[in-house]
Amino acid sequence: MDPLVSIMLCDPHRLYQSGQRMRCSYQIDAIAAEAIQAVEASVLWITSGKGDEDMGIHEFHRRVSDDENPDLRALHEFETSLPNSPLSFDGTILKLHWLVRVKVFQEKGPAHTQDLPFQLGTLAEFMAEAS
Amino acid sequence: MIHHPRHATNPFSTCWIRPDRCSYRFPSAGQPGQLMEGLLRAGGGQVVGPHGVGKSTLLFTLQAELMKRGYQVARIQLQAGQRRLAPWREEQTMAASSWLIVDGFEQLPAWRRWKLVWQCRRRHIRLLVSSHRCHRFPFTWQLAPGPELACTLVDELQQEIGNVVTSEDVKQLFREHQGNIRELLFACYDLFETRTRRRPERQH
Repeated sequence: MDPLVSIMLCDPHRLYQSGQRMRCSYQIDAIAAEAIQAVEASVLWITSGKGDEDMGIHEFHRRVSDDENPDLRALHEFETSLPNSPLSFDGTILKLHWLVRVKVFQEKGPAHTQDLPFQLGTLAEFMAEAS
Repeated sequence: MIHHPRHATNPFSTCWIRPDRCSYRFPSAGQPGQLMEGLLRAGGGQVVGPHGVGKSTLLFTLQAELMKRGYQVARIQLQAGQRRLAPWREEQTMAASSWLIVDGFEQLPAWRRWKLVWQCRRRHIRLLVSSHRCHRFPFTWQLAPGPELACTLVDELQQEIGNVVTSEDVKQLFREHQGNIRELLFACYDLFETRTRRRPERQH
């Protein structure tokens, strides 16, 4: 059975502006503490659409199970300053998604990945301001 | 490998339809076994079909199946216009009875094709290739997907979202693109965008 990963963002609407601080917390359930090898949390953007895919990692943390962190399931929080670009974009041919990704590496079995998308900026407003 | 948030994207985006992201759908249930058996018995073979019918996807599916059976497999992807084989990573370490998969075999000139076949035979490496036309191989698998298979594929891709693209659309697109499934899926992408856009495009 896959572990349950809950990801929470400080803004319930999940809408952020460039340069804004984003606070994120995550918690892991439905798995024994000793079954977790490591947990990686990242804030990243990823493209999708009709062409080649691309991605960029803005923030990355890796925690491993050791004497200091015997239970990686507990609520963990981190903060990051969001960049000025690229902004979230929902175009016809290309889309750019921002998300928080938590990846749980298990002692046995494949890694489990959980994503929580959020929006960075409002491109339409930015374009209107620029013009 | 890039992991995508399923709900956030068009189901016909490249990330879902790339040959290495989906398994090949066979028209009938008995065919995968028949194909694998034929390949193993012949010790190699070729997958033949026109553009966009799923040759690369089938090769990825066969590669996974061969690896599951314990074979060492190396894969070479030839791009349009690529006339020579670059040295591949496993070239020196490939053992006898391992498999070499060459996608786009027809890109090589005749003498290089012959040389590759000869080298593989000498080292007892099994060669599996894809090509737009038939070459001399002990086993051949022709691909010619029909509209029913295209409908199944489209239904599977949009199963979590609902049938935005209908079977009628697929049948029409199949005719328009003359059986080219890749082009058909690109057209489905556009159709999906047109029908699900939340706001009109900005006018310039």
